Amino acid sequence: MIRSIRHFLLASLLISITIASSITAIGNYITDKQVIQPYLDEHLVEVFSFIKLLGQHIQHSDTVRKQIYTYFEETPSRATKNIAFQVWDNDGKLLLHSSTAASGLLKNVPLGFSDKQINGNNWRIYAGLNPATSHKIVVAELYNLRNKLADDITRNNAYILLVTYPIFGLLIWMIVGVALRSISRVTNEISNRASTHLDPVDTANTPIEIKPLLVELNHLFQRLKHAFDRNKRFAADAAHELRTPLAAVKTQTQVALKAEDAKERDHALHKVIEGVDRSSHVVAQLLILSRLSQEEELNDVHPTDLHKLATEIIAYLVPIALEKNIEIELAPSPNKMILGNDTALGILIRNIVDNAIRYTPSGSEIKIQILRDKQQLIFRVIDTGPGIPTELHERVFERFYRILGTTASGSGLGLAIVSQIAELHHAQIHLSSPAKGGLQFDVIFPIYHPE
Amino acid sequence: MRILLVEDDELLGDGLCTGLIQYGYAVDWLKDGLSADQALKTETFDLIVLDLGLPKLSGIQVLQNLRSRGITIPVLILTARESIADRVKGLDSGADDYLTKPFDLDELCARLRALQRRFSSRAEPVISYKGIALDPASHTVTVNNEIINVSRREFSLLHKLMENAGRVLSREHLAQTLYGWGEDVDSNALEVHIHNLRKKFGQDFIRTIRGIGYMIDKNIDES
Repeated sequence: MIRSIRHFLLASLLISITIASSITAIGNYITDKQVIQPYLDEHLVEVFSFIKLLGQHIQHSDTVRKQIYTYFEETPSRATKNIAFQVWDNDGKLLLHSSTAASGLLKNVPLGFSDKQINGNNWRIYAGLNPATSHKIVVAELYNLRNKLADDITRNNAYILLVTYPIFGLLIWMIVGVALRSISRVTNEISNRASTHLDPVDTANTPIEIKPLLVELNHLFQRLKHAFDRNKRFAADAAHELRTPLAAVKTQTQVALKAEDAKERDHALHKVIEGVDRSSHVVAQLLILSRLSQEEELNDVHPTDLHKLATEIIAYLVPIALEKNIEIELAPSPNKMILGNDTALGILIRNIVDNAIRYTPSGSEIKIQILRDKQQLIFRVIDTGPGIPTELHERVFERFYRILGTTASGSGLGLAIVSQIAELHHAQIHLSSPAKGGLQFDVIFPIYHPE
Repeated sequence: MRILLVEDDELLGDGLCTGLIQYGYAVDWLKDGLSADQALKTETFDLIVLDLGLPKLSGIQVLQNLRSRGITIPVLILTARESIADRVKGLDSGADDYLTKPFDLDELCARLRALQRRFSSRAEPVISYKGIALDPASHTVTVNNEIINVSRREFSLLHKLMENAGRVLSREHLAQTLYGWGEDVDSNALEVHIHNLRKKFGQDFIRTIRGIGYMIDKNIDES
C-alpha cells in the first residue's frame, strides 16, 4: 500500500537512478580498464626503448647507471614512478634495476608481453633483447598501479553522482508535485464544499489517470443527491401529512373542553381518538416506507408460498370487509413459490387488499387470484370500486398522492409502500381497468425455481 | 355571524364546525372547492375559512374566482403549507389572513373577530350602542357595565344587528346568520329570538320593518 505517491516516486526513482548509475559505473570501470591497457603497454615499450637506447653505456659506465637510477627515482612522472625495470647481461648478471625491482624474479620472463604474479601481486611485464649488446631488458608495472587510473575515473564519477543526487531528488519532488497538482485542485474543490453541495466535479481539465476516479465520484454524488432530495422531500411530505390530523386532534380537544353537554364532549373525544389513530397509522406507514427506502437489497429472503401468505393476511382483513358488506374471495391456486421476504410480502398483500376494501362500495366483491404465466407469478386483486383513471396509474404510487375527491381515509403511503416492496422483489406492477369497471391490480413476480 | 368553512378533512372539518358553533358562529361546511365556488355565487357569508388542498378545485382557485367577482368578504386561509412562498401566494390571491395547521382554535376565532372588525371598519373591539356594550371576544353583553345573560343565538343576532346599525336586515339574511345549512330551523325561531332581545333591551330597541326585516336605528349618542 502506497501511503504517499510523492514519497514513493521520490524513493523509487532515486533507488532506480542509483541502481542504473551503479551498473553504468561498474561497466565503465571494466571497459575503461580494458581500453587503458594498450596505452599503458605503450608506456612500458617506451621505457624499454629508452633503456635500450643507452645500449653499451649501461655495462661500462657507472655514472650512466647512476644517472638512470636517479632519473627514475626522482622524476615525478607516472612512467618513472610506477615502472620497474631490470637489465641483464649475457652472463645473467643484473646490470641495472629500479629500486622497486631488486630481486631476480623477473630474470626468466619470456620475451614480449606477459603477466606474472610475484608475492601475490600481479605484474604486467615487457621483456626484450638489445641486439647490439645482447642485454635482456625487462620492464614491469604493477596492475594495481595501472588500474589506479580507472579507479580514479570511477571514483570521480561517483563523486559527481553524489553531488547531483540531491538535485535529482529536488527535481523529482517538484515534477511529481506539478503532476499531482490536479489532485490537490480536486481535493480543494471537494473539501471546500458544504455537505449539501453535491453537484458534479468538473472533469474537463483533469489528467486521464484521475478522470475515472472523478467520474465515479460524480456518479456517487449524483446518487447521493438523489437520495438526499428524496429524503428531504419525504420529510417535508411527512410533516405536511401529519399536520392535518394533528390540527384535527387539537381542534377536537379544544371543542371537548368547551363542550356544553356530555354528548358534544363525547363526540369530540371520540374524534380525538380517531385523529390519534390516523396519525399513528401515518407514522407506522412512514416508518415502514423509510425502512424499505434504506434497503437496496432485500435481506432474509427465502422461498415463500404466496398463496399461503395471502390466505393468512386476507383472514385478518375479512372482518373489515364484512363490516362493509364486501365479499372477498381468494381463488384456489396451485402451490407456487416466489423468492422473497415474508414480512414485506405480507405488507404488500395487506396494503393492496386493504385499499380495495377501502375504495369498494359496500355490497360488492373483491377477487384475489394467484396465476402462473410462463416464468411469472401474478398476484391479482380485482375490485368493483370506482377504479383509477388510466392517466393516474403512475401517480397513485407517489408518496402522499391521493386522488382528488377521495373520501376514504388513508395515509397516502400504502401504494408507495407496495411499489417499494415490489421493486425490492424485482416484481412489476400493472394496473388495468376491467370492462365492467373497478380496478385490476397485478403484481408480477419472477417465479422461483428450486435448484 | 355566518361562516363558510371549506375543509376536505372529515375529522378536522367536524372539529372546526363544532368549535366555531361553540364560539357563536353559524357554520356551513363544504368539503370540496367546486361546491364552495358554487355556494359563494349564490349565498352570502360574513367570513370564509378556506383550506388550500381541496379536491376538485383548489382553495387558491376558489379565492381567485371569489375576488374576481368583486366580493370582499374576509377570507382566512387554513393550510398545512407553511412555506413563505405559499403564504405570499395565498395572501396575494386575495386572502386576508393565513393560519397554518396545527393551529389553536382560540387564535383562529380571535383572527376571525379581527377580520370582522376590520371589515366593518371598526377600531374598537367592543361594539357600543346606547349604553349597550357587546364584546365579541368574551361573548358578553353589558348594559351600563352590568352583564346581561344572552343565549348563543341571541348574541349572534344582536352582534349582526348592532354591527349593521342603521341598515335594514332581511329575515332571510338574519336567519342565515343564525343557522347553518341542515340545522333544524323553526319557522318562527327568528321572531322568538327578537322577542327575547326586546325583553332584555327594551321594546323599541329593534324596529320591525314590515315585509322586509329588522333594524336598529343608527346610533344617535355613539360615544
